Amino acid sequence: MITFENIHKSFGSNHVLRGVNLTVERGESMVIIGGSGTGKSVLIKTVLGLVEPDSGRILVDGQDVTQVKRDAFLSRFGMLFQGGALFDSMPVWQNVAFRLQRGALKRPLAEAREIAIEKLRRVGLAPDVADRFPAELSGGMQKRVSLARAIAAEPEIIFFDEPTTGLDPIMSGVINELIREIVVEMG
Amino acid sequence: MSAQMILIVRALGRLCIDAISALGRLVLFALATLSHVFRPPFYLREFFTALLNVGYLSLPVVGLTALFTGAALALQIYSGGSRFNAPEVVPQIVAIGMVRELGPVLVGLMIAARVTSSIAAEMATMKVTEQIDALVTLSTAPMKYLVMPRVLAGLMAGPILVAVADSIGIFGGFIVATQTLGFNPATYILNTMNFLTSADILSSMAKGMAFGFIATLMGCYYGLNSGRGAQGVGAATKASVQAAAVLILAANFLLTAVFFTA
Repeated sequence: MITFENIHKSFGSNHVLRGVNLTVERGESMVIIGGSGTGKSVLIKTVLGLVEPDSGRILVDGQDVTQVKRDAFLSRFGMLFQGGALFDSMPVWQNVAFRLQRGALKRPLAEAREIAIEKLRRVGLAPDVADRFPAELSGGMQKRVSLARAIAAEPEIIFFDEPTTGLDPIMSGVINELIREIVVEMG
Repeated sequence: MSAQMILIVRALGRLCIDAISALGRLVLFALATLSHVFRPPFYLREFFTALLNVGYLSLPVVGLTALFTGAALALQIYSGGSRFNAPEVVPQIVAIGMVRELGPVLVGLMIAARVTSSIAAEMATMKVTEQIDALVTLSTAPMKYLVMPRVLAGLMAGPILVAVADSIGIFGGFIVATQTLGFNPATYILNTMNFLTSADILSSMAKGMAFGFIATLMGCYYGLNSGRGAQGVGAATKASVQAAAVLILAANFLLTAVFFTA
């Protein structure tokens, strides 16, 4: 369960979050809709510690996010960024298996690659994409890879930050459908 | 005091406060980087990749710069020394000039041009495209994964590059002196060897280490603190090279004062 308690955040004179109070129950899927610059991404980023709120508290399963062990805490999350945010210095499979190659979730290289290819298949990408670099992929394929990365370590909580931004309506529909399937699958 | 005077003093004050706070942020960033050196996890692959980029791939530009500088230095010293009937000091002055000053400074400036700019541009692009945020969400600290390997590589590659630059610079002087100025090769080498002290070489290595550290640190600092968009990347890259070059020259002065006037 994620609880936002009176969250405020300003960037200079731009007061983006004005006392957000929100609870997302375990197993619940929530969609936040709003115009550009209204703080949707900022709200997600406050949970992950990427943006520090000016005031207020965020609790995940009753624990204040500022008081938790960062690595263990972050390993519970997956995130699909607006622009994909794939690491362009490494091939696709290493992007997907990034979390499985280091830290507490580290797996042998072959196993990590196998999981990456399986996740790529899950989002509708062929195994031969694994060895290509993100710059060689189309926008829709990059989003799929990013989605594969978000689910690679089977996180408890996934954030999707405008997952269809920059995609054509058909590809947006495909990505939305994929997200729906994955959310149902992961409970 | 007139209103105009107050405005000038206020602007100067603001400038000073900005400069001091920027310096403070930089020092904190450097300390945070160094604090990661002995704390796991260690990303060896990133370190060796950085070492390759900072060190090995800088060798051609460093070598060529040192070669031509050493050669030009020999010509200048011969011409200048002739005015005092002392053209024979070429080997000694080339050696001391390259090892104490020109070798380290050239390496520092070449790394600033080649490595600082590339690190800053890469990291700024990563920041603009949310790759830095993605790293954090994947339980990987950017300071540890991106900054520490590069800075450590700078610290290690700096002295090696300086040793190469010193040697090639002296070799450039040797070639010019023996091929065009009529110096005896054996005497030239002997004079060079006899004149250089271990303190000269140690100071050269220490400068290389310091300049490697400054160059890579500036690239990381400005890259991670870049503004938004392509303009932000450009501004970060420009600022990083400027800061690295100025700090390297300032550090060179300080280190020379410490090593040779104490």
